[in-house]
Amino acid sequence: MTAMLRVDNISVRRAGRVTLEPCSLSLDAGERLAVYGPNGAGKSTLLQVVAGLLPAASGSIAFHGTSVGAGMSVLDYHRRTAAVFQEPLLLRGSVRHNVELGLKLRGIEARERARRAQAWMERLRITHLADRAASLLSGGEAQRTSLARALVLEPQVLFLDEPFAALDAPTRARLLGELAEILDEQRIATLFVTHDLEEAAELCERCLVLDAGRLLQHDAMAAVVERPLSRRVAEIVGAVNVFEGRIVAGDGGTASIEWAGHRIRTNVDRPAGIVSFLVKEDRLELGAPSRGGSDEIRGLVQRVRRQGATTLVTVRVGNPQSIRVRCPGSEQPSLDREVAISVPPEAVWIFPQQPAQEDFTGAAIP
Amino acid sequence: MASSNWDYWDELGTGFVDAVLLLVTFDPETWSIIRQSLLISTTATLAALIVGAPIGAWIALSSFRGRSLLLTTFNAGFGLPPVVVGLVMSILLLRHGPLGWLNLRFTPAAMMIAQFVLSAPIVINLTAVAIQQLNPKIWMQMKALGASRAQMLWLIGREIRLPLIGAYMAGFGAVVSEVGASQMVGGNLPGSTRVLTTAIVMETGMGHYDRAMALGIVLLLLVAAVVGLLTWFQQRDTPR
Repeated sequence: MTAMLRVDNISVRRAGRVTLEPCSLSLDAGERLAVYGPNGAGKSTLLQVVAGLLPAASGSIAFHGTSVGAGMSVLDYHRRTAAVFQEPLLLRGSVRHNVELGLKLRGIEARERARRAQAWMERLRITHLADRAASLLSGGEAQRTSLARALVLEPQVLFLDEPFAALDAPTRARLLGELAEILDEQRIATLFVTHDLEEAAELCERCLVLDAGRLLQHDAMAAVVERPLSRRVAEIVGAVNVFEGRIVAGDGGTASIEWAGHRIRTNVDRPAGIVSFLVKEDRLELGAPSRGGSDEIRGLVQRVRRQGATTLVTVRVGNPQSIRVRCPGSEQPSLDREVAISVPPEAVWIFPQQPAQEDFTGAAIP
Repeated sequence: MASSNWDYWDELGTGFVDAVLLLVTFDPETWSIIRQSLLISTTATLAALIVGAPIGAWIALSSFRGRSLLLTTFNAGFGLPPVVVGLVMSILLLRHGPLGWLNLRFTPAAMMIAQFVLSAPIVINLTAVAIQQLNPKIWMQMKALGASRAQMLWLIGREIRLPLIGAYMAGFGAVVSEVGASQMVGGNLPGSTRVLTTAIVMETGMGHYDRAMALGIVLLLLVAAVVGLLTWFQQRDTPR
């Protein structure tokens, strides 16, 4: 079956430099795909080229099986999709004028325009602002107007380029929740560019990780966090325990990793050699050293940091290696106390994509 | 001495009263001058807007070799001396000149062309600046909204309509009150190329201070009325 939106090997060049390497993706009706990566990763470039707002150096976009720019005009494609950017980019005039604008450009008659605009202004709770000049709106109000302006078009694909990045945290959370509800209800396919993994997880099922214009991983949202393909992906998604170690033969066909003078069991088999791996901080357990289990690493509490409802404890387990453990917020171990960290095999993830052996540094990532 | 001082103020006062009378009694000659002034200057500035705004937009939106030079040239047009424009136009329109075949010398059309040349650089520059001040991402948003090329131009025109009104006001103000070019290419022919400024110069030279003052008052009122009207349009759209 043909995907609603299919993008094949699309790339972008600017000033003779490749800013987006060939990248492919597909979206079906109601599907939501996050594009995640650090600043300068090429996320917005990808969104713009897929939205037909930026020329591609290579590759193709097919919408319902028809090539955009060949079988279907770019204007026609624009008229079946919509985009919301980080800046609301409202035009001169009232909120109502802005919400109705796309419909007007499509030649929808005034009465129908007014009816549809009214419905979406109510949905996004901006009816009371309908006659206010767009330039007088607050950031949240302007972004609501921008969303209403896009949603009133009943797009088949919605392109969102960090639409909440400039908003304060409570406004962002509220608007994100409302948008998720609307997208669920309307089954609008969405490409959502963000540098906030929590936002991505709240809105999308799949995620595309970009870095320096390269697609690093395209996977289910949970897989990107739980099973990053490479060390770089792990770093980008904010993994805190990414190390290099040496694989040694383990028991029962599973490998162990020697790291910082400790032996860490894994639940996979790997040939001997140096590997880069991830230890998931939220799967570790911090306890008193007396427990003496086989999966234990001992060390001294070096730093304790509250992060929302949890505490991130940094434990020095060698020189200079340390490992971080995420504990419930109620746990506040005192500094320099000796602790034991229980590392179950399922907390360890060896990256499927490993750097060349000569690229290993032999040091833990701080 | 005291007597001649008195005569001076007396004559001036009488002149002012006569000026008001000329206006309120709808003196045909005075009104013909006002009509020609309005016709020539509004047409010239409108043409400058129609031609100049797209040129300004083009300069603002394109990048090509010599763009800065072109913009500087148009900026220099702000200070273009009307007398020089009048001189060049007169030479071009001479019977054996390159544009002599047009037979436009001493016609309102020649004055319109001269005033167009004076006001176009103002419109071009102010349009270019207005477009350059727009958020560059607004183009992307317009495309994303499904605007065709023609609709994008309409939307941009809408976005910069206040600066465009400003450009029109500046252009109109400059040409309606200039005298050098109008006198040289128009020749101050009654009922045809006699406009407020040329008539004021002529009446003053002939010692008809009442008429000169009447026309001066009209010129001031005219500029105030046109600029006031455009300002009202401009401010009507400004959010408060």
